[in-house]
Amino acid sequence: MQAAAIPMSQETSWGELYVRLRPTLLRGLAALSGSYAGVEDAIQDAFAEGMARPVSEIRAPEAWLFVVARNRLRRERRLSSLKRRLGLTLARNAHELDQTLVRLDVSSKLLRLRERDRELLIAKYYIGMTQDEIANLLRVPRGTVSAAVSRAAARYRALDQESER
Amino acid sequence: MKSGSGHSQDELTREMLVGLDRLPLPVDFRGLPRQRGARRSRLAVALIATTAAAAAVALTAGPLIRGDGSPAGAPPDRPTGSAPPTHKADANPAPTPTGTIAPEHLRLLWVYIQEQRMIVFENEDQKVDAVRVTDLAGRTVDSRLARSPEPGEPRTCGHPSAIRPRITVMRLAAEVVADFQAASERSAATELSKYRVEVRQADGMWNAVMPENLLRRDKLAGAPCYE
Repeated sequence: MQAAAIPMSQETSWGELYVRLRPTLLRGLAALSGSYAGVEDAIQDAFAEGMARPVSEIRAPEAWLFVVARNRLRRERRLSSLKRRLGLTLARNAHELDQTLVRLDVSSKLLRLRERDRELLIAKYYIGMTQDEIANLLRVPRGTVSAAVSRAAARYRALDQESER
Repeated sequence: MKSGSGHSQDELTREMLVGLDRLPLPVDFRGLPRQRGARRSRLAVALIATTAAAAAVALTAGPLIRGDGSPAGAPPDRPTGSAPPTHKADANPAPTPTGTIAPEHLRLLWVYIQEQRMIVFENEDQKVDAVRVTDLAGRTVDSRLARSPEPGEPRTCGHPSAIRPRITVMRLAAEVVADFQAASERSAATELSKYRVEVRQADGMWNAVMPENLLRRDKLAGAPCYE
């Protein structure tokens, strides 16, 4: 079963891509980061960065946008964390939808994994990234992508067995 | 290929797609932050230059993209709750006169997804702009725009060559669904007894879909369609 693959035509515009991919990116990044806060901004920043060139120049727009938005989100959160520690800003407010991440089975299980495992599972099985894309964009050595994804999947499945006991 | 503890990759993909697609999208967020700021201007200006949808938004000076991912200004095509027959005037696509019968080659596949209590109408030829269900008195029960399916969104198993179908998702009252199901169980040429389905095409006219062109499917894309 192919996850979330979208055929891209020459005429696909950034606007069309935004409409089509925003829901997937939003859910994927919220599940990855454990919060909706800042996710929308990160997605828009990724689109803004991508729009400097034609869509056709980007080989796998979904994968590219996911990784760029993830990087933006991380950078923003690191900065916010630093500001909070320095007392420059108040504590981060949780997004009103964050509770749904805890209530939903799949996302709550994902949140019990390490971030790297979450990232691999979401990239592979939700965004639909290929092994090459994971290797190139997530900086995983090419030869270890399959093993890393399998280990993450095994740890994810182990959570099922834990909860059954 | 099996992953670590014996579950296939397909199962995991399905679990992720179905599971994470249930995460809500922020409804108050219309694609751009509500506060007017640099980010809003930057993306709005750029998208307005590239998409007709955004251009329409610029004209209405509204938000760029709706919370459900469709262009702002367009009527909502995603139900937010169970929708019993309202018998109100068509609230979504602008009311237009009903024409006659949709062309014979226009088929609508439909599948009822019990768990989510929703019906997905699907047209493989990309010729449908909107779908509505009316009662025999002509009152609209529900009316929704057709759109491309989002990744992972339920679709009916259709012909393998239908690469980009148009779907319309409705939540209909149980009695409407029961009528559809009963009609499909009687015979292909049987009229729906209380309701009918109409489609709007490029000419802007609403045309009733012939009962024999209203095809019930019970499998979703992603599972084996033809066994």
